[in-house]
Amino acid sequence: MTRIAALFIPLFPLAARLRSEPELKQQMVAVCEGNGGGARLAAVSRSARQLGVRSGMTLAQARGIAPDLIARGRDPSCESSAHEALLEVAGGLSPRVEDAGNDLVFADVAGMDHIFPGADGEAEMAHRALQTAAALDLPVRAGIAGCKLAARIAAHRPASPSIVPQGAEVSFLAPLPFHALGLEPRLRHTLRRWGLVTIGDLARLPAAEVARRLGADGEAAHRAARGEDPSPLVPHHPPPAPSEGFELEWPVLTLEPLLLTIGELVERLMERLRYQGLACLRLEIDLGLEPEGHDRRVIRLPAPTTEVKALVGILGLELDTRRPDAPVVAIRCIAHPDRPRRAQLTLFGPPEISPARLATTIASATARIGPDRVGSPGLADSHLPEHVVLSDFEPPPPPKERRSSREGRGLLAVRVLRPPVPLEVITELRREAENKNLTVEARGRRRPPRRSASNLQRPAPDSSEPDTCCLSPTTDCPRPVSLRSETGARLHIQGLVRVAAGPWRCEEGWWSDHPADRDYWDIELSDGRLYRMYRDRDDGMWYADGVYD
Amino acid sequence: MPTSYAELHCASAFSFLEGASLPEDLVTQAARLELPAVALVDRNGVYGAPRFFRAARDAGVRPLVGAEVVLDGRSTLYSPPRSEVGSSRLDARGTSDQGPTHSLPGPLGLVPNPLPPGTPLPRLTLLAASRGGYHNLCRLLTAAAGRHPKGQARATWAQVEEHAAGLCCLTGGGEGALAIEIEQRGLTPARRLLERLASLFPGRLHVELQRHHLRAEEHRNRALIDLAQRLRLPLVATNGVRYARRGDRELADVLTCIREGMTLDTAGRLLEAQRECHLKPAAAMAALFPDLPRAIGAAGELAQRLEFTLDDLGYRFPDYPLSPGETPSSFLRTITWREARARFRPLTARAQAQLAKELDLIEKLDLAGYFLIVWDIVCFCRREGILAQGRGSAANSAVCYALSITAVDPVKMGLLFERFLSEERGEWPDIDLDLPSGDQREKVIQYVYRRYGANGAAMTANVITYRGRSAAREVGKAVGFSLDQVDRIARHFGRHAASEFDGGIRDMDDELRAAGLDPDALHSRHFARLWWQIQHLPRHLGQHSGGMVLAAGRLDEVVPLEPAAMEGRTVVQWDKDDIADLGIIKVDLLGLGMLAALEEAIPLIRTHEGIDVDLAHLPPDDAPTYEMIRAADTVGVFQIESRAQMASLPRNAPRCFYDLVVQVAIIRPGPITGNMTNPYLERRQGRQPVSYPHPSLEPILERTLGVPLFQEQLLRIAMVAAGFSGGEAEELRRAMGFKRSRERMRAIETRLRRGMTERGITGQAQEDVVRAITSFALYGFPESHAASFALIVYASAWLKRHHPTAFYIALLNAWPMGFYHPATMVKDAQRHDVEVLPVDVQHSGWRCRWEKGGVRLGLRCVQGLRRALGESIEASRREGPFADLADLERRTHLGEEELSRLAHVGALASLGLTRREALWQAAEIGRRRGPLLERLPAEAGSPLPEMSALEKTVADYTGLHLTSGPHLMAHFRPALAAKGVTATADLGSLPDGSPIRVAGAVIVRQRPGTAKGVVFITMEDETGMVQAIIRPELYRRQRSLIIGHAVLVVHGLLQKRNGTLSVRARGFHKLDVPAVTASHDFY
Repeated sequence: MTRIAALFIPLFPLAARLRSEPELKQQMVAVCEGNGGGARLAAVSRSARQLGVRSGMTLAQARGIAPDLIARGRDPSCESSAHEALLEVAGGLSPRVEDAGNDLVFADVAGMDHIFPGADGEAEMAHRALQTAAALDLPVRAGIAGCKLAARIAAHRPASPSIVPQGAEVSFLAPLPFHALGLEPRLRHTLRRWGLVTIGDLARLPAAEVARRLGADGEAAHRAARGEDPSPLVPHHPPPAPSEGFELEWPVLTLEPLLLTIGELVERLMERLRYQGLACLRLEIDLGLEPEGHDRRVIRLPAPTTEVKALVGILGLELDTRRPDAPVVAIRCIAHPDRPRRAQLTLFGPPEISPARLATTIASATARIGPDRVGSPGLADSHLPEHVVLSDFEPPPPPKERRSSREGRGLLAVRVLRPPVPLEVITELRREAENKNLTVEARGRRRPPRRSASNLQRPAPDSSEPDTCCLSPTTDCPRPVSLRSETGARLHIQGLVRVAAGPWRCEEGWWSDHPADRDYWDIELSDGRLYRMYRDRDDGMWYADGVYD
Repeated sequence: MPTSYAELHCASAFSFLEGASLPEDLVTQAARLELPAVALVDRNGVYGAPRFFRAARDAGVRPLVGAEVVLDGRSTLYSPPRSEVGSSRLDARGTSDQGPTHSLPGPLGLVPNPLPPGTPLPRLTLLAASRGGYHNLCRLLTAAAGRHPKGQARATWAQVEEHAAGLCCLTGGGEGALAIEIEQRGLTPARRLLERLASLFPGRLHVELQRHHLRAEEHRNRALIDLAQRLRLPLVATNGVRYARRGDRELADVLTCIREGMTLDTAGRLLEAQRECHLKPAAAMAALFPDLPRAIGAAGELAQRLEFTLDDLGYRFPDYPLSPGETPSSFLRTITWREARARFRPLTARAQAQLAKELDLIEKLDLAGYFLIVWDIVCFCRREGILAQGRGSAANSAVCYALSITAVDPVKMGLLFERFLSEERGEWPDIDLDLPSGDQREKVIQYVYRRYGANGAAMTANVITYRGRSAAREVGKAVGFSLDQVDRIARHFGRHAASEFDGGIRDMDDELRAAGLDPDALHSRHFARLWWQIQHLPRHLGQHSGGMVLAAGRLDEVVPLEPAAMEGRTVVQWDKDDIADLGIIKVDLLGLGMLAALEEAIPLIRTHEGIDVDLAHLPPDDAPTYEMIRAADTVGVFQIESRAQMASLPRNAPRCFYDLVVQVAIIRPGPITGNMTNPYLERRQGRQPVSYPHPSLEPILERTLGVPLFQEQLLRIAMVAAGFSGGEAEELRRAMGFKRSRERMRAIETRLRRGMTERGITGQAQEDVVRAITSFALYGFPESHAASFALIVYASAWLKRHHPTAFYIALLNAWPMGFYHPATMVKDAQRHDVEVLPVDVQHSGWRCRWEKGGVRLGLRCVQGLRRALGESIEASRREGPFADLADLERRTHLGEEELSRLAHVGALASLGLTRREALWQAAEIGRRRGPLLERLPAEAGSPLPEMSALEKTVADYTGLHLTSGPHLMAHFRPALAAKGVTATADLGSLPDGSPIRVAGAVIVRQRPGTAKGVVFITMEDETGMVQAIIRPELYRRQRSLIIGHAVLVVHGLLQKRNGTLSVRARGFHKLDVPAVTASHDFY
């Protein structure tokens, strides 16, 4: 005897969204797919439906009907969470669960009558599942029948749970509209043209004639209308997340014995993973506290590892940084597994970095200074030189061979001063600047030599064809003549400006709360040092923000 | 300090998302900065040149013409050594993903910041030095546009080489070919490129320097100066202008975001780092180039060398081929007098005098050739049996009438010839031809292309600009509003024109608040400012609905041509106003659905009724026709079938042709907003005395009962009441017909008031005249145009009254056109005792046809049935009727889906099958494969339930969008009657003000902008139509019901006014019936 339970979440995108934003439950809400004028409603709350808003409408159409409609985009992460939660509810009914889509799962509930005996046993089981789902904030409907099709249709009915007695599938389906079979639009259209209304209407047609006219799809639909659903349950195998834990006989107050115990648990966990050919990508530790409460820590690893020493070390750092607020009375470690990654050895070059060691190193650093301070810095797409972005550290592949130097590219490194060093600057008006003949020789070199402060061409006062680099030596962007850092600054900068190139204008973020409007200069002081400095055009203050090494 | 500096590199908003100022704004700023000359160089076009030229001429700035020509990145000017060639790849945006391989040392030897991602394709800045150079530029741009998708024109180096004569070349700024060559390949290839350019443009190549305070730019400048010195090429300074004023940079950034599909926050280095690309005075430019004063001087010198401006286009209208010894004028006289005898019946002395006067003026203005060209097109139409009728001011001309270009006798009508042609105007007259829409019109357009060559004729462009909704959406996205917010602001700002905010009618903060935004928030403030700024900036170029430009020789030397989306068509880069300004001839070939219908009806009447109808000589003032019009029985009649027209027909009560002329003109936004419609109708009914704003205006307004209704009257009022000269009146006329007229009208209004005050017309009279004239700027008809349309109104009404079968057949075959859906026309036909026979494979052709005195619906009505299949049914039937369904399938090869569609709508009834039997058989026969089974007869009988009468009606509406059977509402009449719902036909017997309930399918929903929020819906039941009037508050309350349901019950008070019936709605509820009817909604 086959008995299948179907758990179904109506308006799944909306239900998933409302789990994350429960404050919207009383509002007119719609979840949309697509952007701009192409945005269409995927699911609509009841209050909006009452006003005439329907799924499939464009957002503009919907707003035409309900101006106060709150729209949200589909959120894959909260839908994934809701889906996982639905699977867990089904898992509570049976170990044999089929994942039939985001909003639907099946569970094989045959043989459960010894747990839920009696005529109402199945109903009680379904009620139990619905209560569990409600506790997880999932508006689930349940249906139980002898096949998946009937169970699914039963679960779609508003009255939930809906139990179809054994062998009553045909009579259950017969009065229902045939669109409940979930047919292809084309087939549905044909049946509608034929004047069929219910599943029973379809079931009454001669099977062979239907097959001749509607092909394999029609034959399958006809079989479904007769309550025949030969498709077996396809079990869902959730990824195992093994856990180990136990309750302590007495509370642990200090770190050392706690880590010792944790080490044992982690050792067992890693052993289990190794046995399955897996490694740990995320380690969770749940500490039961006295008298109540839990302290949960999650260690995310950049690469899967089974190195117990490293893991315990990271946990030690984590717990050392943020100690539990109360004595620990229970420990539970959960390892989220993944396939281990292998480092590739090379014949000539250096081997790749061991992912496990890298993971340990990064995790250590993260534990010490915080997750928002660990990663790979990169140039932000911005005109302002101080803008940088931080991304996850991905180790570069080892160099295959020595990179050839790029012709004609004389790279100078800029050491950025953070924060910029305030300067006192003496500037000149243009006429004076012209008289001083401050120039730089920067022309006519086909292959500039590799530059550094030492081999940079010095300005030649008697250069035969000098060119000024001062582009706009007017009073609104005055040219610096001498400067010095403020007293007590962390970097001492002082001297006469021998060469000044600029101003290089940079105005960015006029639309934001922090617009920047600066005139940059590249300057060489009398002592030969090169600096990048700028004048803030808003307040007229000068800063050095980089040193050319 | 140089004596003069001219800006030679200036892009406008016609560079489409690369420039942020209109040409007129650039000119205004240039004049303010006292720049003697400015060159407009838009990307791949001279789109803005006419506007720039017009504004510059008025402002005293020399308008130079040029373009930034985008080069095909794959084409090379020379063959570089293999080692120099970078593996530049092009992405979809036409940008290269390859970064620089060589960076140049700059001041202090430092390396500039990395380039932003996506280097653009290289460009050359080309300036027209002479008329020949301009011709070459236009041809180059035409060649560059050919075969490339819209907006992605690219010229090959070979094309540049071919068209280099007469053009000066600047190497450009950062997007210039030379700069990109330096960045991507290095100095040696750049030098080679420069050498080759120098040989292409000998003595006409300048190395261009720009300084925007950018480190990378200055690095490049060093290299450019060095290269120029080595090759002894002159340097020239420009500012690479992208906007008029410094403060326009924000809008430029927004346009960049729109172009790249980014927001301001994410665009990064795609936005400029500075705001220096604006027009600068000579002193500022000299201060930027203190080290290179010769580059500044070169700009002024080069500007002086560029002789060409648009007043020297070299445009020539095509010559009409004449016999030896004949001149255009003599030939025109000959044919005019020859044709006049047949057209004017009789050719009175007054008509002869008018013709002679017109011919003399045409000869004096040397316009005979133009008339001959239009006549030639009309002759082609006559040869091909295509109805053609001139509209617009051409109907004022007796010569046009004699040549059959127009159909209104202007002498009999007393129309004003000067409105069409006058010595003062100094421009070509405007002749627009109405043609049957569809294939016939296309045939005429292709004839013009054939006659004048692919490069001698083209369609005019239509510049689409940013307006309320599009501006709100694009700016909102760029500013970074969320999807929700963008939708909301688009809805709120899209409802209003920018002028409503400008005029203080609306408060922008209120609209922002209504859209759910905080008006004081930074982003909201930016949005409001930028939304305002982007108004009227060009968004893209469309194709004008029918304007064609003709030229003797090559039109692509006068203006660049671009391929249109439609096969076999080309479009010029200028719109119709620009073309008119430059004295280029345009002929409008406009499609009119009703002409196509009339064209179809006449042979039907000849064949089936034995009557030869001559539309040019219909019985005048036919009483039954006017009686029908007065009763507002005008569904399907040209122009007077709309709800508003029908409502006014009993009030205007037309009795003669001139009444129809007025009727056509009166329901227009111009007269309605100018408060002219109601006074006229009141006076017409004798409820208001006829009076005149001033005694001097009586002769002008006498014919229209003291109310100005036509453009001609407004012009004459301006001349009489405000003392406008002929030239000023002409300016007023153009402002009325000009789409950018609002600003022009403001200036004219001031002069108008001053003139009237001087003549003692003050107070309310002055206000009335001003309101009448300014409201015509919105939309109003010239009398001649209304007369041309009135002819078609009369012809279509006459056909409906006397030959209804042919009339409805023609209407159904010409659809889509007009105001109503075919379902309404079919029901209207049945109400006029015209039998409508259903679609049937044994009888129907592809088109609707005459059968037994009634209308046999055509297979074209079957939704989803392809024309080829429909015609194959018609063709197969010529071999004999179909024996059964299997025979039909065998002979026509219809598939299961097509057979089912036909079965569903009852088109297989004559095969002896009910609809469901046919569906059952069709499903089986349509799936048969191979010859073995094809002759097998279908099995009789079906297990499917047969359709009820209601199901048949619903199937008709679903599969045909109409029904020849009972109206949907007829099925519910007994139930409705039991609930006290009155049939439409019975409303006439009830007294005014009776509380009533009416039910019907909604066929029209309308919310006219002139009705102060009142909504009108037209409901149809099986006995007729009735209009429901919905107050704004009721509409707000029941909006979703009113717009969301196809069949409604309305309760309210019956309103009987001026012979029209309507319901003043108090409430609606829906009727639970299948929603199968469609409505035409106008909001």
